[in-house]
Amino acid sequence: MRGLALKTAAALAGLLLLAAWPAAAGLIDTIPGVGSVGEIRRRVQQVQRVAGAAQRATAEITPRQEYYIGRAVAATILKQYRPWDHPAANAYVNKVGQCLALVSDVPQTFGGYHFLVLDSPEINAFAAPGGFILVSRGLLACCGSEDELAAVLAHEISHVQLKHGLGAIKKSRLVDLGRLLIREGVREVGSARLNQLTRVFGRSVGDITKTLMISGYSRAQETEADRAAVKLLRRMGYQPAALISMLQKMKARYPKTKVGFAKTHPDPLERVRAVRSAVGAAGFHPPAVRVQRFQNALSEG
Amino acid sequence: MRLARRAVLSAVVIGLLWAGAATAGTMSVTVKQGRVLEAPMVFGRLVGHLPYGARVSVLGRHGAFYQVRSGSLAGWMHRSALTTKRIVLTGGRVRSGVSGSELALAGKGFNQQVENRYRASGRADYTWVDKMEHSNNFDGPTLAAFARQGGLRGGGL
Repeated sequence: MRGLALKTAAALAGLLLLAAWPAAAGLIDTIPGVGSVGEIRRRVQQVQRVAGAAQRATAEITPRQEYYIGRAVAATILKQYRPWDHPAANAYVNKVGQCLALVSDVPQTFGGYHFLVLDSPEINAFAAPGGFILVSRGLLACCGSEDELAAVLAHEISHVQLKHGLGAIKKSRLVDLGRLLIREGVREVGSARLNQLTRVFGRSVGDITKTLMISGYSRAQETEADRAAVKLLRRMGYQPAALISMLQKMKARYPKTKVGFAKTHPDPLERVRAVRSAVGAAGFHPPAVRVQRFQNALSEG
Repeated sequence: MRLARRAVLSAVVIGLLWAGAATAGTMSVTVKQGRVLEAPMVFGRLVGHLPYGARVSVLGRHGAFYQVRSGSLAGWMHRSALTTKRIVLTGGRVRSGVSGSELALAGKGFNQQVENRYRASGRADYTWVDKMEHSNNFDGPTLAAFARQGGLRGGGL
């Protein structure tokens, strides 16, 4: 028995080496004790077909599809919120956000990261898939410095990169999408099929906007995004304690009833407790240069 | 003996599948406009763009960056802009027998056609989404200067 196990182990090691050296594998046509190379190739193809069939049943959301979903989510939100048409403020917010995105693990999405300020006193922010991030003037008013703004943007970028928005799409939509793709296959999309695709698309977008605007992410997802935000802040050189400062300011404005961000976010002090160990003991002392340029960029004039 | 034969066959299957992935000397651009940089640095100078689906030869690797060449354009691209999957763009027609994922990569599924139909439904306003996308797109050196002015030293600055 032991002799057989040793021979098997030796054969496995040899075969793995051969598998990684296709040129050498082409020199042999039979593997002793296993069978012909042709038989092995047929078995491999069978395994791949079974794996492919399972994959085809549920469509994967590619970066390109994520982009179109994200655009639609942002456009749906912008049907309800007015943008703040303040070029200097939007340019500044984009610079902060794009710096953070560049030092993240996913510096490029299909269409890139884009930030827009909403002209709303509500304290809120929305991270649409693909990197379309909207933050309200009400939320910016809670920030006293660039570091706190960076904390907000880092948190929203993290939601995008952790695919929390896409995760809100019901599995049945992805199964429907997979079936439509396979049925369509090589043909151009006819009108009936396009209608069906658009219906699935609309429902998927609806799943995400409902999460962003009504039910909110889970506590675990908010903690995950907060912890990832702390990493981004550190990588860029912002003070991680800015996140704690920001959450404490939000707590001061946390309404007693579930409206605005209170509807979609857990109590800020719960978030502070969950992220305190990641932030560390250092206090928050925003550098004057970043406080000043923050105030300059977001002034009304 | 039958158990040993099954174990060997499984190893061959796993080995052959792994070999296919490990020998990827080419990759495809998986973003709309892949940024090709002068050096493997996030705030590096841009030397060119490559469109979605473009194939690149991988010449080396440094951290999260791949050294690539496509035609006369050579430089560095971040791994988040590349995929080992082949993206087949053939004027909307795709070869038969492909999976749903490959079809999605080729532009089937949620695409511009679907967006146009969704826009027409009136449920969304794309005016500022389009503005967002086409304005305030800052390059690496501009962002590096902004970071330095603010006393930030991240990202290799």
